Amino acid sequence: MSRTITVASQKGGVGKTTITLNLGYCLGRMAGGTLLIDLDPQGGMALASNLRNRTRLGLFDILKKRAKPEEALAEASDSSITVLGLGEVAPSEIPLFEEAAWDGSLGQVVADMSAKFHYILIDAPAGIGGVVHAALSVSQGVLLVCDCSALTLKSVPVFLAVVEHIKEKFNPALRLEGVLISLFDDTSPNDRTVLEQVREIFPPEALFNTLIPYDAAFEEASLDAAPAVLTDTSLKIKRLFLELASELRERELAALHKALATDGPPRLF
Amino acid sequence: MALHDYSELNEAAEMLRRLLGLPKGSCQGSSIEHSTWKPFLIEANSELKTIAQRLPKLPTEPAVSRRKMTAQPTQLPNAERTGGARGLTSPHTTKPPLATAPLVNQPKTEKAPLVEPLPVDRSIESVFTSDRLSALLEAMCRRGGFNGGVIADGSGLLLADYNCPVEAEAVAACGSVLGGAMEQAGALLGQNEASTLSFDINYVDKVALHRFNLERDSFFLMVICPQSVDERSEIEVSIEQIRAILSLKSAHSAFSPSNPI
Repeated sequence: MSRTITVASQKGGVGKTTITLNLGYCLGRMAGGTLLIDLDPQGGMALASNLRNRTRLGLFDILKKRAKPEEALAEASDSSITVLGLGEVAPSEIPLFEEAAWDGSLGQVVADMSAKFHYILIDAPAGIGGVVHAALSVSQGVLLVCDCSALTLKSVPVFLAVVEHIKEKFNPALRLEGVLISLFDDTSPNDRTVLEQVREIFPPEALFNTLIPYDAAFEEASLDAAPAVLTDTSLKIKRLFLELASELRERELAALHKALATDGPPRLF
Repeated sequence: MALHDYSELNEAAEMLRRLLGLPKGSCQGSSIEHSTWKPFLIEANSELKTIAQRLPKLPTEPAVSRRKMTAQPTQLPNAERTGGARGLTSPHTTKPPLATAPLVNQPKTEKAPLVEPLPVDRSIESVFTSDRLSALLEAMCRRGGFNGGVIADGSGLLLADYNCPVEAEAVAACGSVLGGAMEQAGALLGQNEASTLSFDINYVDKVALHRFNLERDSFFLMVICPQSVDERSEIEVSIEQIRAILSLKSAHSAFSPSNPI
């Protein structure tokens, strides 16, 4: 059964695309068949995965009926991940993308993909606009990414209110996977202090144990247009994303156990 | 920088509890009043900072206790095995119970440290190579959802094991035999770089054998895991760590807690 998880944050520049790409790769190697969907108009995923050398078609072309879904998908050489980029979007067409989000056609395209993959990770744009709304409406999970800046943390309640609203009104299956701290700089007293305070205040169940550090390896990997876990520069990064993927799956199991304890085991026949 | 207005964080904490179905104000994360909150800031010359800097350098408790055990071997009549042919195994190793590695973490009751060291980091602090390798195997099994594993050298001598279903020495020797067969099969097929052999041992589990080289020596990592698990990525990472431990080169600089996340 496929799981769709949106990687989101209200503030930009917190590492959503990097996390989606590297986590997606690790999940793909662990569970097989992971689709990464780039919903960010910046198109960072297409650039970071070298997708643009494979196809210029993308989600926007599917929405405009200019391409079939299978034409816009780019599969990695080792079949670990498949990437669906945004495609070539003219500036004048960007509002149409927002319209597709509100009228449900964007969500429908994402939902149609779910039969073919074990995991679908959606790289959502920053903010709480229609595209994020559409992504959350068709997802079973949301992974909230935060860095240790005051502005990001202060925007968390607004984003969580949106998640609560969508869960209540549109998508009862939506579950918060957890809050992932990214771009953590261990040498910065500011980051250490803020992390201490966050751990003091947030319920421990909400925070992922894995922290994604600020690391030059991410920049080097983006120069190579490859996930950082595939480069030789940092074994630490590889281990961290494998741990993050394991933790995500552990949380899924824990949620399943909780559901079984409440509802009883599912009937097979 | 410390946050001086906690209303948003407290609000976020309450919303997180609601979304996760936790009782209000439960567990560690409790609401903090602005008036009572004292930001945690380590002053430049305070004793706290000195202590905080020294803490990661202190040896871990198991390493200290094992040193004592080595000095008084006669006090350990029930030691399960003695040092191997290469002297890599420690005099006293307690075998874990035979069970699948738990996939779900137990809930933590104590406050989480600022930066949690990874299990492998702690293992590097140990004195004995086999202890480091065993801890590495354990961490690998927990991360990857494997049942157990064995590291052996090219001639089938056991270097380390974790949660073996049968005698670890027998599994290690088995690894050598299979490794030799894999080498011959690879040569026959013109694939001399073949390094992985996987086969099902029952309806649910499989054994995956990986050969890797360190300088001119061959080593084997054999894991037992469910057939549904894709073990390759986890094993690739673990082999790099095993190489670092076996070659004894700069393992500390690569993994020590002084070089945390």
